[in-house]
Amino acid sequence: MPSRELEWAKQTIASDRELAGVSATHYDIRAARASLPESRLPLPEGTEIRQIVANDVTAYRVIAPGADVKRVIVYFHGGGFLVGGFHSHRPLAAWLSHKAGAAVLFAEYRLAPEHRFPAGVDDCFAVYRYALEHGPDGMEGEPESVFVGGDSAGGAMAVSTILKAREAGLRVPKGAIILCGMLDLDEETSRFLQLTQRSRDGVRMYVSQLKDLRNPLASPILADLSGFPPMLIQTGTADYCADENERFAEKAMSAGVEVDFENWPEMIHVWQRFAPKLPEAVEALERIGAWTRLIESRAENTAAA
Amino acid sequence: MSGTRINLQNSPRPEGVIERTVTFESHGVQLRGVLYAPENASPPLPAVIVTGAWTSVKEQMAGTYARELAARGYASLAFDFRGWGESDGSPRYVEDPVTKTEDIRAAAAFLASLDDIDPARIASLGVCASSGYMAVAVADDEKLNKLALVAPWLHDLEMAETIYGGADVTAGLIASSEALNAEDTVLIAASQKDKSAVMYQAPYYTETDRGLIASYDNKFSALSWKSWLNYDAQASADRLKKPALLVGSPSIALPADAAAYEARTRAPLQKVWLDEDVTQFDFYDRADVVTKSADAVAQFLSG
Repeated sequence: MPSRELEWAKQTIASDRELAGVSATHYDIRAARASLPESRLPLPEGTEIRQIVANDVTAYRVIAPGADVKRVIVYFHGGGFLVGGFHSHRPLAAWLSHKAGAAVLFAEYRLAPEHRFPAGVDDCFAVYRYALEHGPDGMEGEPESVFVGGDSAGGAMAVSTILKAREAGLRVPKGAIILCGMLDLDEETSRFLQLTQRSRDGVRMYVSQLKDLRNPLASPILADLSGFPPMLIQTGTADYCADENERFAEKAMSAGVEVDFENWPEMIHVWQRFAPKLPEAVEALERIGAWTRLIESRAENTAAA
Repeated sequence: MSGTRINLQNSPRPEGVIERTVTFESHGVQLRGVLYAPENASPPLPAVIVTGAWTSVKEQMAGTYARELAARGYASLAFDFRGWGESDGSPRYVEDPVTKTEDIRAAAAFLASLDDIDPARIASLGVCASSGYMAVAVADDEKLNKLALVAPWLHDLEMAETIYGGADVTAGLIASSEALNAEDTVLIAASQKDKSAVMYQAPYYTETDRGLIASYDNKFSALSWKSWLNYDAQASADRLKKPALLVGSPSIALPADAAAYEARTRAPLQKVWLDEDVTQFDFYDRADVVTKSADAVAQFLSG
């Protein structure tokens, strides 16, 4: 049985969309942006937030109480590459920092349609490079461990960042955390895009030309994942992206990638952003935290052996 | 799915619409147009200037929409830009956003001077490429009170590079505009067979039962590339304050650019989005699409 708060989360989404005047039939960019307003959920008490410029990209370093700043999660928010930002995802970033005991470096990457693919991907990679070089406190010197993570479209950004790091010969992150990833932008195969014209309308605003929707840096389901670090993939049975997360997990596993795949009963698309009010969100973030520690400890054991 | 098309060669104009040819000046050049109006309407009438896609003439989609809007109560002007169709002016066949915008403003001044037009209610409808020119005219000209765009094409510099195959390609095209003989270099605008055509195998323009009509110049001066490719149709979004309407579909040529304009402007903006089976070219002559679009524009103008 899901918690009672799940109903509250669903109602919040519905009323935000209604207030913003979101159309059922087409993607209205201004309404869509208004439908993902500033989140007023509380942050862990004592969370420190500082806006920085990371390789020319705006980013926020988020350090919740108890976070070890030598451990960094570079985080990419969701919103279909078109909407969202730190304003909507601040509590998720802060609770992730708290539960994972790590600093979160949150990338405020450029959004389409004003800045179409690959502008956002480039920004996410720039923030990742910054994390490798600086650590979240802005000090020189490498952090001990860097993860990448993201929800929905941000999950795609996490994969694209690894692809770009691999291509550039840079260190890949210790692991990737994908929350309800929007991983397949092909209308022929994505169930989410087959669901509504509105979803297809939206995804076409991400690119300058439709063939870009089949570029692996935009649509990670098409990427060659060999040599990828371990991945934690969380989706829910009520997540409209569940199918593509499952297919992506299978693809990663058959490429030899270590994958922890979690399909949470009845959970909706990016339920994790309703922490701390939604118990399943808190629980999911705790599991992410435990997973990052497990990956690190295993890496240490391997190093010791 | 394609539905009935409006045949420019032989479709009768909508019932209850009268037309008269008009001439007016823009920067010393005489332009020719057709002013469509509802029959038996009592002046002063609200008016709308209608302009079409790049390279097009007043008998193509601009005329189609002008007739439709006349049937809905508006004095509607379709005209040929400087250097195109029946209008004077040289060099000819230059897709120059700046002069075309000046011509739109000249058209607004002309309509405002007519006794049977209400000068406080002159609006504009841009189809495809002229959307960008119309947006500038409405943003900057107090004679124009509303902006309606159908299947808008609103490229900026970055987008132009993507569309035409990269910065190298656009640089080459711009260089051809700057060549000494550019004024004498006139390309075929659209062709089914000739690969050198600017719109090779484009629908509508290459089909005799659609846009390929006798009055279509079907020409494109090499001088066009520089002004066209360097044009930033998004910039007016910052200045536009008047009510705007976007009519389109997810399958128009540049949906991301329409959305970028929508995201950038603070103008009060409505959007009528048709189904994704409706293509860019369907907006020019597919009967049900033209009817829906003209209805949406008329409703917007009356509001």
